[in-house]
Formats: sequence, C-alpha cells, structure tokens
Amino acid sequence: MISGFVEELGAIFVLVWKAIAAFFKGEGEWEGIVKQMVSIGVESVPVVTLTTAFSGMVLALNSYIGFSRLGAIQYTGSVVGISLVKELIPVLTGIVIAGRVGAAMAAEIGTMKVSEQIDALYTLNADPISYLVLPRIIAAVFMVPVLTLYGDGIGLIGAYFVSVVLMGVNPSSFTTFLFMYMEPWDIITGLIKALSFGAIIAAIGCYKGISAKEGAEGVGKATTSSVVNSSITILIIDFIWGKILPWTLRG
Amino acid sequence: MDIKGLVEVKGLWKKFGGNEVLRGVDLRIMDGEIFVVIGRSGVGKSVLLKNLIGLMRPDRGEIYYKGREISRASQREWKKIRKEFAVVFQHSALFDSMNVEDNVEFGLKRMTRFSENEMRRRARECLSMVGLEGIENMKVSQLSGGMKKRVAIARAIALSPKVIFYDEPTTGLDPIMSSIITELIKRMNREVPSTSLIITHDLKFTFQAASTVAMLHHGRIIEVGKPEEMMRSENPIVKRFIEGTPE
Repeated sequence: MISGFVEELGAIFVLVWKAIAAFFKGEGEWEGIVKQMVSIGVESVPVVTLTTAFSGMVLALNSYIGFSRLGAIQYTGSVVGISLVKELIPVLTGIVIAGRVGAAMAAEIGTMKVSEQIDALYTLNADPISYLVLPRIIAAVFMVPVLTLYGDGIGLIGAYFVSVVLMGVNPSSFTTFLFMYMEPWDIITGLIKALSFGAIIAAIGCYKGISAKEGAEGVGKATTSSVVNSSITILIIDFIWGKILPWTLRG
Repeated sequence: MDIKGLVEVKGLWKKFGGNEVLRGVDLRIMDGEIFVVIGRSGVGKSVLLKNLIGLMRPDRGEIYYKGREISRASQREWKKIRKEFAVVFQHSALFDSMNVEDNVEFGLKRMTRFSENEMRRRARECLSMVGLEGIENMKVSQLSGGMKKRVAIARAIALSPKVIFYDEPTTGLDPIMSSIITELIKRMNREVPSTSLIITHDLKFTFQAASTVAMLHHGRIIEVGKPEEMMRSENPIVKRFIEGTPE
C-alpha cells in the first residue's frame, strides 16, 4: 500500500515536472486556457458563493454564542474574520473545487484515455501534457486564489449579516475589531494556500484521468479517487502551510 | 540491409510482464498497397499497430520507414514522421469537445502553416471526399457510428499522409456501412494516394479490400500472401480462421 502511494506520488510529481518543462519550453497550448478558466472560475461562482456565505454565517453564529457567554460579543468580527480568510475559505473553496472541477478533469481526461483520444492526440502531434495538463494546471493555479478572494468577501458579508442583522452586534464594533486584528498577511496566507490547492486539484485530476483504466468503471474510479485524494491532500497541505509559513503562526 | 518495403518490420518483440505478445514479427509493406493483418482477438494486432505508429517501443527488433529505422526515433523525429502517418482508430477517437470541422482541422493546425481559410477549405474538401457535406458544425455526439468513422478518415487524410493505419475499421458497423467504409478505404488508397495498413478480423472486408494479407498468430506472422492465396492456404491455423472453425 505504501509503495503504491509513493509510486503514485512520484508519478504525479513527474507529470507536474513535465508540465513545468513544457511551460518553459513554450510548448503550452493556450487555446484551451480561457475555456478552463471559465470552467474552473466563472462556473464555480454559484457553488463557492453558497459555500462561503453559509460558512461565514455559521462561524459568526457560533462565535457570537461563545463570545456572548464571555460578555465580549464585540470581538466576534475579529475572530470570525481571521478564521475565515486564513483557514476556512481557502480550504472549503479548495474542497468544493476538487469536487466540482477536479472530478470533471479526471472524468474528461479519463474518458479521452479509454476512447483512444489521448492516443489520437499523440498521432496528431499534440502532446497531451501541453494540450491537456498544462492549461488546466495554469487555470487552476490562477482561478482558485481568485475564487478564494471572492469567497473571503462573501464569507465576511455572511458573517456580518448574521452578527449585525440577526444577532444585534453593533455594526461599527464588528467592522472596527475585524480590521483592527485582521492583517493583510492573513489574507495573503489564505491566497498562497489557495494557489497550492489549485495546483494539487489540477495535478491529481489530470493524473487520475491519464492513468484511468479501461471502461466506464475505470473512469468512475479515477473520478472518485481524484476527489478523495485531492480533498485529503488539501487538508494535509493546509496543516503543513500552517507550520512552514511563519506569518500564519504570528496571528 | 535489404529494405525494399515502404514500411518494414524485422524481428519485433514486445512483452508485458511475463506475457510475450509479439514474438519476432516480420512484415514488408510495399508502397501503395492495402496490407491487411488478420488474426484472432488477443493475438497482438493492436500492440503491433501501436509499435508501428510510435505509441509503444518494441523490446527488440526494428521498424523501417523509407529505409530508415524509426522504432527508437526521438520524440522530435517522431513529430516529423507523424506528418506522413495517419491513424484511424477503432472507435474513431474523435475529440468530443469539438465539432466535426475542428476535428478535421486539428492536425492541419499543428502540422501545416495553412491560414484559417485554407484549413477550412481543406477540412470541407476532406469531408466531401468521404461523402459528408454540411455537417461541419455538428457535435461529435450527434453523429452515428458510420459518420464518426468517415469523419475519422477525413481527419486522417487531411494531411495527405503517405501511410494510413486503420484499427478494426469495420467493427461495430452494420453490413451496409461496412461495405461503404470498405469502398472508401480503397478509394482513399487510390486518391490520397497512400499506402494502407489495416488491422482487422473482418474477413469479408479483408478479401474485398486487401492487396496483401498477413496472419498474426500468437505473436508471429504465420502466413503472408494475396487474398486468393490465403483462401487456398493449407496452413491449418489459417484455414480454421478463414472457415471460422473453433480449435
């Protein structure tokens, strides 16, 4: 099991390395990149909006309950803000994108593999790494942070709505404490994480598709394991970022 | 070395784990002929084809094209060779994210310096050659099996290849469509003009289209000849295959 895991991890690194090499050799096929950006970014806006809005609202509700027991409801905004932009929004956005986009990448490329379309690409002088993998990695690395930034805004609006409109926290104390304690680094930390999550989702999604076994069952397994592996990796990498990014520990 | 064929295979071996799929295949395909490799399922026909088109590398043996050994060519060299090779896959392998015209133009975009207009004109010309006009904007999912096969042939001939490889071109088609594809392959061979190498187990197709037939059995070519010679073969394995008699 461990050797299989190491082998798979190695194969994913090789795939990413080949994509990076193709990028620097100028072999990227840019035709599909806009399509991928739309698919990863624009089409994910509704699901990211819902996820981040409700995450902000739930976090605000529970934080309000906790702080009200301590008689410090004015701190709701500060704690909710930092938790959202540093941790919750990047991780939830990553997991939602892994489910929506990573799965689609594995299914699409997997179907291309089992229907010989990948072989056809080779015979028509189109390298699947340059044509399929590289545009997806670039689009995900760019769009997941953009979605995260958007999610930060929506999450904070949700938190504001629950805290101020529903629970009666003073609006000016909510925003004052929010901006007093939340630093730009908190947002940047979240965006760095999101960037790495984008790379993870695309790399795993593409790898699972390219290595899909024959038949519908093979594509189904590739899709499922793409979502599961991406989600677990996002949680592990989130923790590792928490340890190695010194500014994440500062706050 | 005595290389007379346009494509020539000498002592080709390929194994997967302990399973030896090709065990010393020898073939000589002459310029302009329709060369058909027949054999039962699982005897290594598809593996042979993948070695010939550079999707696999043989463990041993050589493949010559125009007298030059190509089985160990670099990726860069293969990019040049592939301008002269075209492949029609068993299930057509059309890109289902694109429409018909984009599929036919795909190779032209990568291997020629045609303008947009020239590519469009060539794509429509190729579609017309396979009897498909007015379907340029259709999605691949809207096509029938026979139409997909004809679009795949149009995509293959777009670059005027020297050699066209077909993998099971009539599999899954009704008898009438099989006859249409058979005639189309013969016509493409004359009109492109090209050499065709076809992998199949469809005997009706083989005897209607082939100029030379080779039978692959357990990783080796056991008989080569004209279709009429194969029909009269005394080789018991060839006879059984042609008569459809179980072992």
